[in-house]
Amino acid sequence: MKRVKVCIGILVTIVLLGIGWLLLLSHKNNELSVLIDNAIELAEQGSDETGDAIVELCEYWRDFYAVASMFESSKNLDDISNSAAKLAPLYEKDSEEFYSECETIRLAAARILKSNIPWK
Amino acid sequence: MQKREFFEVTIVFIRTVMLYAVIIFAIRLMGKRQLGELQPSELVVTILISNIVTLPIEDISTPMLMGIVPILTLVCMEVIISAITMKSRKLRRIVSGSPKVIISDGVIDQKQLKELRFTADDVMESLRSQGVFDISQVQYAIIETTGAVSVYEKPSLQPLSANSLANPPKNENPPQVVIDDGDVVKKSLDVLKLSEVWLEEILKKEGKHSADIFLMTASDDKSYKIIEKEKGI
Repeated sequence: MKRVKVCIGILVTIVLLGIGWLLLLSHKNNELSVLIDNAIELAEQGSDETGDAIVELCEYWRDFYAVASMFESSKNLDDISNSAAKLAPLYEKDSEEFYSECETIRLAAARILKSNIPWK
Repeated sequence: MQKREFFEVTIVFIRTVMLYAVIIFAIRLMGKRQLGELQPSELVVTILISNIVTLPIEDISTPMLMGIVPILTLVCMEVIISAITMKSRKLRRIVSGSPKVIISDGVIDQKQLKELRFTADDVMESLRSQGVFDISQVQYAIIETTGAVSVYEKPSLQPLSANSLANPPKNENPPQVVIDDGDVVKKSLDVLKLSEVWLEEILKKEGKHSADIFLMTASDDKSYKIIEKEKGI
């Protein structure tokens, strides 16, 4: 019976960790989306604070990466990192691609969350 | 070697060592049953583990937890299901199947062999692996749930012992399990051509109830052996 108890303990731990991680990922995803909205809004207004917003977004992505890499393939995450790295140069060049890269990050992050929800 | 390649090799090495430790832990968790012949569900788990573990080792972009979580989940499920099947003979038969008699009283059950998709060659091969080369020497053979064939040679052909010298053995089938952990095995009673009334009479005579019996075996000559359940287990 000792083995059975250990196994039940392990399974409960896995389920709780999975739920906790999913909630954390969902929270991080929402936060990232807010930061993306903020960066786009500031860029559209031509605000001086856009640069800071992009830096904040990239830093937040690094946190997101650390959390998501626990269960997600780093290949998928690296694609988003590439997009995040392009944001500052694209904004400096005043390129329209800045907005599309922002949306790419948002969609890719949402896809990661969706792929980790078992019933979706 | 490039610096990047060196890092990758180091990561693979560390992952392999960690997964090795996880697998050792998982196999120990499954217990001694795993180390012997595999039941169908144990075979499935073993095959799955060997496949799952290669993914995070070969592809360093795959997180380690993607290997560890399924391994632990499978092993824990296996241990829990095997604990549940211990309580229910019916469930045990569903999960692991039941042993099938292929030779009884020296006669091959061809219908059973056909159902098991066992050819005559397979039977002879299994007998040879048990050191029996002449089928006429076999009194009783059974295919266990693990797929192994257990052979009981005719008692008259078995090596001489002090007991057999005093009581020359008759060619009869080995004892059958008639009560398994409190459950009456009706199939065994049918094989022995004994009735439940006979069993009830024996239990009444012994002053026992079937629920209190861990194992009861009976033979063709109606001799029996009872092992009671130990209390507090």
